Amino acid sequence: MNEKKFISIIETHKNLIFKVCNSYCNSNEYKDLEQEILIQIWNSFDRYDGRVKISTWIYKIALNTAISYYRKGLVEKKRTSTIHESVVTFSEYNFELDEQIKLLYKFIEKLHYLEKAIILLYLDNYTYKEISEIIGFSKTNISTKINRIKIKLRKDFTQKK
Amino acid sequence: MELNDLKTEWKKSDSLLESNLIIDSQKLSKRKLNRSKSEMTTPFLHEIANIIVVSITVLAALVGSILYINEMKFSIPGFIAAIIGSVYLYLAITKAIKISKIDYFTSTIIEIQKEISQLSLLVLKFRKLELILFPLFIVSILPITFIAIQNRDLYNDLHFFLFEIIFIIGFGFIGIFWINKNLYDKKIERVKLFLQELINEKDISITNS
Repeated sequence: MNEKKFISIIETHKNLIFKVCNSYCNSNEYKDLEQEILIQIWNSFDRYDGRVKISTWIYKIALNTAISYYRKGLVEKKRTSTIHESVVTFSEYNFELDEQIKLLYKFIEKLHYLEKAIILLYLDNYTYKEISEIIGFSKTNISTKINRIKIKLRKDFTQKK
Repeated sequence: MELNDLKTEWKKSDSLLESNLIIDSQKLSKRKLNRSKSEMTTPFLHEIANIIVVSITVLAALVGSILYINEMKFSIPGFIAAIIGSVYLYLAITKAIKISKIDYFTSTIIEIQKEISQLSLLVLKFRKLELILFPLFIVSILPITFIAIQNRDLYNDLHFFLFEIIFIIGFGFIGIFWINKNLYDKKIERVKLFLQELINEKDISITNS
């Protein structure tokens, strides 16, 4: 894949990458996970065959990389980061100042790593069938898990009130 | 707050992100993504290098042992080294084949994670075995190597026997026990836990469907 095409794909899917990184790691690790996801997209893109939507493809790569990042963190000691800054910056809107969104990320942060993947896809309007095809669970199980997340969400936000 | 409210907030934030999140294309093109490899590329290259080096070693040990076939004090340890080397070779080939078979592109996330975890488990168990065999391999390959390359009979060398004893007791027993306990066993335990979790989740999914 040439660099221009790569940059344009990242530009189109910047939100997706940002949301996955933000849900799976804290601000210190953000740039490392972002780098891992960029590498995987760069390395995998020539294998994209158009059978699924490009956003689904990118989502799958990003989520898989984030879960691998979590698994590697369990198994190995974290290596020192060689990445100094993220490739994304904010212009006017700073999500850190958006209280409601910050609360949502805090809630997502507490979820199990597979629940995080499910809720991200759900919030981005993927159907149960699509989520089940990406994650590998049955549709019924996806629905059960979403219901469980709903209960957790209600509980979490009631406690905060 | 309900999930639907969350969805509305999410959508709102998404459109704000869309217009305010800026990708620095200069920074992005400076990142050395070309040189970076996927998670399993390094282990795969490592195994390929392993196959080449071990093949040459096994071949050399075999040729040396055949050349000194009449002097059993050299040929027998040489053949033992070749057998151990063949075990290393078998392990390296098995690992390389399994790594190359991982399907990152059509499998689901659960399947990919399961495959990688199972492979990591296998690699760690193989490493433990390789480590256990290592002192025996070194000790058995030394006599044939020295006689073939330097024409030096290590059996006449007191230092060699001292080295053997120190190496086998020092590295062989204490070292291997320590490395296995503090490195591989811990890693294996963590991978097993992760894998078990994935299998449990998958089982729940099958039961529910």
